[in-house]
Amino acid sequence: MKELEGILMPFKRKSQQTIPALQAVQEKLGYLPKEAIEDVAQTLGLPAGEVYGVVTFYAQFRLKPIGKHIITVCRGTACHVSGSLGILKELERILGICAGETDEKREFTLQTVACFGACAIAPITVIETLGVPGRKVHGYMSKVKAADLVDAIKGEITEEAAQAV
Amino acid sequence: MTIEKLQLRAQKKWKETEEGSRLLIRVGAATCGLAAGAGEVIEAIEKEVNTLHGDVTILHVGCIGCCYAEPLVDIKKPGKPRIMYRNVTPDTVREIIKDYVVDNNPRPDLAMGTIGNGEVDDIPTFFDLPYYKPQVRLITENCGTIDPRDIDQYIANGGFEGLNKALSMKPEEVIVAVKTSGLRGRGGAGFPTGLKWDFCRKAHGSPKYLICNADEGDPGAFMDRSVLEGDCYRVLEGMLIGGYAIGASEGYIYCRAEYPLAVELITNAIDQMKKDGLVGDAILGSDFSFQFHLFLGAGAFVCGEETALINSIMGKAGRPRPRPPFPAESGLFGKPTNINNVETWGNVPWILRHGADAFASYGTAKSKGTKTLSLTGKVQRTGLIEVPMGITINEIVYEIGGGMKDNAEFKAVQTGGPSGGSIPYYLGDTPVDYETLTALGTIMGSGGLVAMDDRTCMVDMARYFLEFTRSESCGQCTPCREGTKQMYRILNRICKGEGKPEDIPLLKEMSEIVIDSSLCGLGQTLGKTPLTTLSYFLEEYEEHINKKYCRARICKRLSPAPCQAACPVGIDVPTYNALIARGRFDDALEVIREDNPFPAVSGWMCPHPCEKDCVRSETDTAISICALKRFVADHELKRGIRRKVVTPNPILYEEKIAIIGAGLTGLSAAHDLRKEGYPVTVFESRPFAGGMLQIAVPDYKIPPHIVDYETRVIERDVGVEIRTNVTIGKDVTIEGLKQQGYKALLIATGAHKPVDLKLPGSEGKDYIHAIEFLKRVKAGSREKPGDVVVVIGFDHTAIDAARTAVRLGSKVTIIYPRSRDQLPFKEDILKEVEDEHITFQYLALPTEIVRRRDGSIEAVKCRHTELQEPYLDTTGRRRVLPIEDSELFVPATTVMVSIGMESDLSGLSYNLPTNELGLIITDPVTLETSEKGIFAAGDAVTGPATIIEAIAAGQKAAASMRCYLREEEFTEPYKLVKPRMRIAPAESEEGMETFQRPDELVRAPEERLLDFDAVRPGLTETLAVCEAKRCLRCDYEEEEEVK
Repeated sequence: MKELEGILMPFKRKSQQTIPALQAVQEKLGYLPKEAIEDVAQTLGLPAGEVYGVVTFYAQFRLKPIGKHIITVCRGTACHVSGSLGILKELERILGICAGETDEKREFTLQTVACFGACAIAPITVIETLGVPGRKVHGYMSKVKAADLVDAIKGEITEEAAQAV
Repeated sequence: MTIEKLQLRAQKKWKETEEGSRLLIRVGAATCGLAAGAGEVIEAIEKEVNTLHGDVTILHVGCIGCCYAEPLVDIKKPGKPRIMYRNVTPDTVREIIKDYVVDNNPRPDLAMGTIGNGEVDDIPTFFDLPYYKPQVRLITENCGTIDPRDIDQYIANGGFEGLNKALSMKPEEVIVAVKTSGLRGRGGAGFPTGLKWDFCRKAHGSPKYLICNADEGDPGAFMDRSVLEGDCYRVLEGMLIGGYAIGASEGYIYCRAEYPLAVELITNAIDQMKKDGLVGDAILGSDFSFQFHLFLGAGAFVCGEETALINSIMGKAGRPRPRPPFPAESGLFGKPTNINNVETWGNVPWILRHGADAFASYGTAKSKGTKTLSLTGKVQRTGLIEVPMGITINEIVYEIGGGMKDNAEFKAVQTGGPSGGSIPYYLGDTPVDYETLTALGTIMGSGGLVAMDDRTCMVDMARYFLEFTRSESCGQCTPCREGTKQMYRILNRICKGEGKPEDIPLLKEMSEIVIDSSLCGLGQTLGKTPLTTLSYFLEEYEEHINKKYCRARICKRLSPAPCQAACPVGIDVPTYNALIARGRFDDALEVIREDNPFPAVSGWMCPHPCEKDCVRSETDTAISICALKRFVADHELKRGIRRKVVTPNPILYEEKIAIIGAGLTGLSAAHDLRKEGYPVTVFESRPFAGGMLQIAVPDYKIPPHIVDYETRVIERDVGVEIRTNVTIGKDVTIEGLKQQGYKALLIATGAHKPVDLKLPGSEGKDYIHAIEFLKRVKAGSREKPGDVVVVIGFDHTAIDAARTAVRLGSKVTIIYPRSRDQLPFKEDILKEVEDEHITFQYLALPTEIVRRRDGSIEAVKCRHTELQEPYLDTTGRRRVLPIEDSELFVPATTVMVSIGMESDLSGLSYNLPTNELGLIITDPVTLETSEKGIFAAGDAVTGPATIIEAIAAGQKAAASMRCYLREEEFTEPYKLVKPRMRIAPAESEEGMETFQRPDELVRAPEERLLDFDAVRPGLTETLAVCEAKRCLRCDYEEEEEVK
């Protein structure tokens, strides 16, 4: 893939840099399509199968494209004890997708994280938007707050669409 | 550069910042602070100080530890101590800046504590707060104080002194110092750090590598993040010292990608250290060289295992390999490698700077120094704490954590995350050190400490961790890969109510096998959660399997709707709510009647334990379940006609049953037995049925016609015979009843005899028992009990007496030995009482009734009390301590007492064994007395209880008596509480999103004090329908798919 040439340049023949190379590619594309994995393998000088093995081992790497808004529900222990499963179920219901999935319009991706490390203000939900640096961390979450957050994002989407017209 | 030059530069800058004329504002801007809203607060501060035109420095510091109080803002005015403000919002920060910075009012109401020299009136010292008092902050000493982006602030606070000292020693001497300090691996396993370093130093091979494990993957732990975000220089300095001691020249920091702020800070720190000659060649002018590499972990829990982590850095899937060889011999790239975690490295500079002995002076014989713990879960105060080793679990939970939230009961703590286990509350005096925790079946782990309350299901907890380890198992070795799958399946089916008794030994065996035969630490520890929960909470497993019951009401299949499960009689709340939402009020009432023959009485009087468990209360407020019940009952009552035509069931059995006492317990039992087809007669000595409700409970709480109506329904529709004006022991004896052919008897005579306080001066007409006063008023007397009434006691009877006396024109004071927040009443009731101009004398314990010469009461003499900190008595409250030599006189003309009620069976003329309170002793399961065929239930057995408990007692007695008559064995009735119908949620209407729980209407005090009419008029139809629609319908949720 042409757009990866610049990114992969520093990794040429560095067979031990699989993970940083994949991270750089995913940062650029949002996910790791088949062609990109092949490109990484070629750059590093590794069989594509080996790179694919690394990709599927780690939770960070995605094989499917993601939505514009990525909602991550923390499923750490403190969040679990404080009811994060209910929040996840509520978001699944509202968005009509399961954890790990992206909706058809690619507006939302819903995913979980094993622990976000802000357990003292559990339960936690994190929202990122592609193309917008940083992420918004929401503490002391509830089902109602989760629904409000999705509503707010949907409102933004409609507004953007209206502006585009 | 030499250390002296660096220090000179740093100290000059620090002095300007700290002691200069500028205003210094620190904001906790670690991930936790930002999540709590620190970003918006910073923006507000920046805007606000712009208008001040003064010199202001704003520092974005790390987390000082008390995450529960975030966002935190700490303001230092020149010459004053720092003042920490808690839970700051953009609005309050503007107020604080205006009031404190401009007007010099430090706002003690918003402040948490002061830090540094000097005091401020009405603001405590920050580190003396209960949260901090037991803590010892070594590794976190700079967190929340220094700017983690400014190396000079670290240097000014002793940074790199340890490194400088190490460089002046021989490498072997540095290792000896670390050994002497007793420092052990803080990642969890607790291997002696000095020894580990020694192995690596002595290993052959070059170059040697260091690794800092910052892949904090334990769910429920954030110690490493806090240290890295608050003071990452310390960790890097530790690695430099280690590099020098071991002879390594390169170090990798393996940090989670989920910690972007930590990554940013580490990158920045390494850059600054390069500029100052603290990285690279000839560090601080010595011949020691060192390079750092930052590696981002891609998300795999197993990479916490050292060999897996090494594979990950080398670009492979992070699978562990068998040891030996240990990384000290063959690690990264096949070279000798030393791995420690963030906290271990972070402790090293302190040890070098202050000496090994200073470090070893903290902790226990075998576990030295301090441990950072992330205290989370259901405690009131959560956050990052650093405590000396050997502190007990109770000290952490109660003193630092402040006990459980929402007055819940402390059940257990989980230490060590998925690799650890649970410690039950009754082992709370366990000291936190490596050996003790291991002996209890858990591990220290990296420091996650999750406190759990009675709303946490331990089986679900084990299932949760197995779900995690199952998905995080690398899949390489069979015991772990297959074992986690099977253990998860077992736990899952137990949680779903499909468990089998043999699952318990099977789960235990599998846990042991996986522990024994797995390749790496993940598999070798994951069995600890099932094993500890099985050994400490076996009864919860058994309940799930044998009774299909989840006491925490977490397991969805076993407890579809928590409200229904919480109800002592299991009223089908979700269904009646759903029917109300659809406007089907009569149907809703019939649904309630299926489980409870007293819907109106319950609607008016129930203390509604269901609302405490309402899931909606987790998002905003609980559904007004009780008021809705009252609404449908009142709806029928207003019309006076039951829409559903009901005729009594035919008599199916010939065994006659006698029930003595027509209170709620007796009538409930009679109702159930008559429905079964038994001929039932209820004997009541008074001219009317209804028990206490009709004898003493004031009309403004429940009008008498309500109780009459429901009693009539039981007579007319169910067919129970009620004979009033029949006194057992006088008109007919128990022996006589037996001779008349009654095969089973239930004594439900209640508890009517007041317990006396026996204070000096209590004889006289102006000293009365509150219950006697209430009975007089209920019977029609409207005589004012006295001008100034003092009520001693704090049960419902006491409060009722006070409210009744006020209505009759008295001035009333209630004496209570504790503080207001400990009164056993809900806030709305308390407010009602206060609105009626009843005053409370808190923290006082009556000792004497003081009388004048003429014998009339003058006052109640009391002692002041204080509440003991922090240990709790058996009820979970702080113990009351009377203050010696303190005196207090509460003026009075009349004294009323209510401190409890006893049962009085003297009239029965029948000998039944009773306890010292006069309560009848029965078999706890069958409720049968020592006399065959004679049962007893309700207040006569338990002492005064709530109306819903009285109804439940009657129902239980009925079930047991039926078994007795049918010669079947009676076991504790276990009902799997599930909604009867599956009614789809009603359509929500426009504007429903913002609809709030309606405050129950309460008549204005000046109006309601004039009469004895109901205080609360009840919900209107519109409000009831809207409120019912607010129900989240937990019972209707789709069932979780099990993969």
